[in-house]
Amino acid sequence: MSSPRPVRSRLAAVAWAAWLPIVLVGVWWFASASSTLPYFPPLSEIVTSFRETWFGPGFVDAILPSMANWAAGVGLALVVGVALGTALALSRRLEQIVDPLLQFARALPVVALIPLSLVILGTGTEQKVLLIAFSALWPILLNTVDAIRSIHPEIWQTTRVYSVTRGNVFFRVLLPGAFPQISIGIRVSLSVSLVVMIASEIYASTQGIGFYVISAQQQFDTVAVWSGVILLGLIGYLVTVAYGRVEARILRWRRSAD
Amino acid sequence: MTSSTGQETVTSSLVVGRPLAPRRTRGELRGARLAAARAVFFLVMLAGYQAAVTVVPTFAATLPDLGELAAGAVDVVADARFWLAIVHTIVATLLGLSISLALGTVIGLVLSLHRNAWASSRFVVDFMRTIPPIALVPIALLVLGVSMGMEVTLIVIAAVWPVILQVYYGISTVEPELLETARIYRLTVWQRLALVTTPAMLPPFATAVRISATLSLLLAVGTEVITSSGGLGALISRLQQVSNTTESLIVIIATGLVGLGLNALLQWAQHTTLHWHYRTTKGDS
Repeated sequence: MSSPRPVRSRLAAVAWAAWLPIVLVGVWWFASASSTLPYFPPLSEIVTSFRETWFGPGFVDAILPSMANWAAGVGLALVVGVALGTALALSRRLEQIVDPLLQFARALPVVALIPLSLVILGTGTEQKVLLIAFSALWPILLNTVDAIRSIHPEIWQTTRVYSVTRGNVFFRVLLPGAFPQISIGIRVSLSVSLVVMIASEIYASTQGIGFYVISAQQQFDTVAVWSGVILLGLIGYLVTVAYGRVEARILRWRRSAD
Repeated sequence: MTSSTGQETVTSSLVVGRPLAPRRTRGELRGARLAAARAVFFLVMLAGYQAAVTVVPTFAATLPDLGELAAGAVDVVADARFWLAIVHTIVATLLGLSISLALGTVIGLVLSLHRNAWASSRFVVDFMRTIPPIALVPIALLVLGVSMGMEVTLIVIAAVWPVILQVYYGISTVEPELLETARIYRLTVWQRLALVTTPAMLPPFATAVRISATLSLLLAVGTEVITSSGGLGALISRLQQVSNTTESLIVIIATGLVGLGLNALLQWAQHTTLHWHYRTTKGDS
């Protein structure tokens, strides 16, 4: 990154990366400007509605509850997934025995559980958080098992020779060594859990972004539908980009070690 | 490779699933003992479930016990609508997956023709693949209405991006030496495509198939649950609306089994087509 590239070629790279998105948005803007098609309202109206809703009351009413549920669910899945995954990785037999259950849980599309979860847990925060956590758990757990297991045996032996304490083995040896692959699971979990969050808000909820969008759809308020969908798209993108930054920061020690 | 600042991040974020190289560990259970241990674990789970629905008031009020569940299973399996729902979901998933694979391969190939083609579209691909596809359901409902076409469209919008990325990645990682060799032997474009590019592309393509298949089933069932467009998702939703939790639970389990079947099918296909790859590359990087 630090090697300076000529300014010219960097400008060229930016230009190549930026022209298509700009053109696409431009085409959308002008093509829809005088649109009378009911489902494709002018982009300018969508932008206005977006600003008024999401930088206004919608932020507290919809964005905050949605994202709080999501963060709580993913956080829960992260803690439980890494803990359970480590336990399973350390006991090959235990992992062998529960493997069919893990495979089943991974193969089940979690959205299928939305109606049932409503019956058991109601429509409140609990249901949202637990369902999001359930969907985010499996990719993290399965990747943790593989990651911990693939740590080289010599590293284990070294910790034993130096009688490193268990806590230190976990936090200073296992976790850093396993993180690159756990991170792959986290990325999958982030996107799957967003899908589950939105689906459960659309299916049955009284607040949240998904609820806002589906209510707008039922009232045929297409401008509001589009502004909500664009918001959800941006959230998906920002979550991915933000996590990329976090991951790079956590993995910085590896680059300097190489 | 001239333009590859973020190459590693693209690949590392996409390689999902477990490495295929077998790992030996001490204390592994085998054969009959493993089967017996799993059977015992299964029985313990069933007993735990029965205990939970008998003792915990919330579960007792909402969930069926094992006897009711077994009776429900018999009813569900005897119902033709259940089998139609399974067929609906599988058809939608496979249709969406096949279209995604075909479309994604073509787009990935085109984008890898010139580095500026990729530079231009990279942001759009990266942006589109991060959009939670289920968010498009309300728009799809408005524009397309409830139909199989809507379901398949949503699946393709979700599942096409990993294919584009992996195809591009596979082609861009062809060893330069191989291309040199191909040039020295004066291979034609078609020979080069068949003998050099395709073999290099297959392993990342297999990864794309796995990711896209999971997404396809998730989107199929998700769309069905939300829009009641038919299939297993709609059946689950409908059963729950008439408070038939027993049968809904059975259909949920069946949905999980469909997912398992899909995974097993893909794993089998991958092993039969790519065994040469796993034989030559022991330690998957």
